[in-house]
Amino acid sequence: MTDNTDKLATLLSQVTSRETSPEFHTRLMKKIHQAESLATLGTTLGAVYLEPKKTSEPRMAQSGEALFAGDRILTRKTGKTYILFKDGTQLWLNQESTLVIGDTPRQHQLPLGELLAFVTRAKTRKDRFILKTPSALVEVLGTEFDIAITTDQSSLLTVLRGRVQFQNDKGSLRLKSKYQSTAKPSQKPSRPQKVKTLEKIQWTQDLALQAAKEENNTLPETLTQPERFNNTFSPGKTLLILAFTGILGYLLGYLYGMWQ
Amino acid sequence: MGFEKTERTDEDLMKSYLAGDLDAFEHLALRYEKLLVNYAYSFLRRQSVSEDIVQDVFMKLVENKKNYDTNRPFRPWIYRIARNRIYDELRKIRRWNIFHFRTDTEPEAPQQIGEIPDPLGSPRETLNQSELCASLQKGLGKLDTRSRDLLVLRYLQRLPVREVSEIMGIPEGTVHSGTHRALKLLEKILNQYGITGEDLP
Repeated sequence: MTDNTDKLATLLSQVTSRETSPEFHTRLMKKIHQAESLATLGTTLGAVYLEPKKTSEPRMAQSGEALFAGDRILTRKTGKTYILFKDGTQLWLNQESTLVIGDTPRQHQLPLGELLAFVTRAKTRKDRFILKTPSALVEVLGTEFDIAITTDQSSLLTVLRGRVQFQNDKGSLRLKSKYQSTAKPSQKPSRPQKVKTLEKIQWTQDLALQAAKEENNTLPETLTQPERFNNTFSPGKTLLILAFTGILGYLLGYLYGMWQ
Repeated sequence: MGFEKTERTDEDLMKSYLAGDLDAFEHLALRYEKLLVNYAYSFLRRQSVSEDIVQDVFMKLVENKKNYDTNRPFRPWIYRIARNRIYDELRKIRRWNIFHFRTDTEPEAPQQIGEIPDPLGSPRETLNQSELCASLQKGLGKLDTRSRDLLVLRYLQRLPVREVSEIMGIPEGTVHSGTHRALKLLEKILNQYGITGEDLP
């Protein structure tokens, strides 16, 4: 009997193992990369490059690619893309821009170009979103803003929604929605000026259109309904205000008559 | 020049992975994915289900990487995660079977667990080997989960007794006695299929 169990043991250890299906490893690693990543690259238009931290060699980026801390996204002329972070934050990159992904989904650097940010609301101040540019630091809890770096390294900030803390080593200010300020190197941010925000996000149109074509359901409302953020003359709104003022005037006149 | 490149240990790869090196993780995945799929397949008998289970195991590893003690061996740790996941799946299957009034726990059309290499390679021998393999697989399926686990880990996965004891959470002596008992049980089952000691190579 003992001999037979030995024979059985030998026989069992001779059983060769099964192969996994050919695509199993690729599928597994894709899932792992997604789990370990901070963000995913959204739709790309034109020349968009990814410079992974570990290789530091730029290569053509692909939509859906996993992004990690320290990776750089570079857009060339006509190149545009957006990045979807795990916390729901979206950063839209204009052409000829560079974005360096930080260690967390809420700390990044924009050394070059222009970016439109849709930042999800932070629960605590510790989780605030921070963007570093060559001449300023942008801090938000959750808001929408556009920031462009000009050739003289100035940072031009436009707030679309919410409030933004705009600062550098010379000064700091809090910017309201539909206001704009510029921070030049070694100068404090300029006085806020009212702007037409819709014009500031025109550059996203072709990319948003392409993203919509790809049946992307994560597009921010600001891009799908831009008229909501247009602060130009609206006949309907003006008529409504006039009517309301008229009624109020009539009521006040009536009350004054009663009092007399 | 005849220099052999030293293979990095699992623990070393895990340390690199914890430091943020995803290539190290890929090395570990390549080292273990096939073994774990085979381990899962020994119980679940479905390639796609086994692969999904192993995918879950690696995802669990990613989620729990901070709980990994770098001073402890990696292999028993990942096998323990896999074993828990497989047992969860088996419980689910059993519940489903009870709910649907099914008494069999084995799949309807079981496939081969693998093959036994034929030393002679003659057509007649090959036929015998495949018949034997099918009976062996059927016999393993008839064993209770614990006995099957012992045989799979010890012989099919070729793990040392110390690691089997760590994975199953039982003393080494119990692994020895349990394995012997499981082999006896398997022999008895094979006898029922008409396979005696003389048929074994």
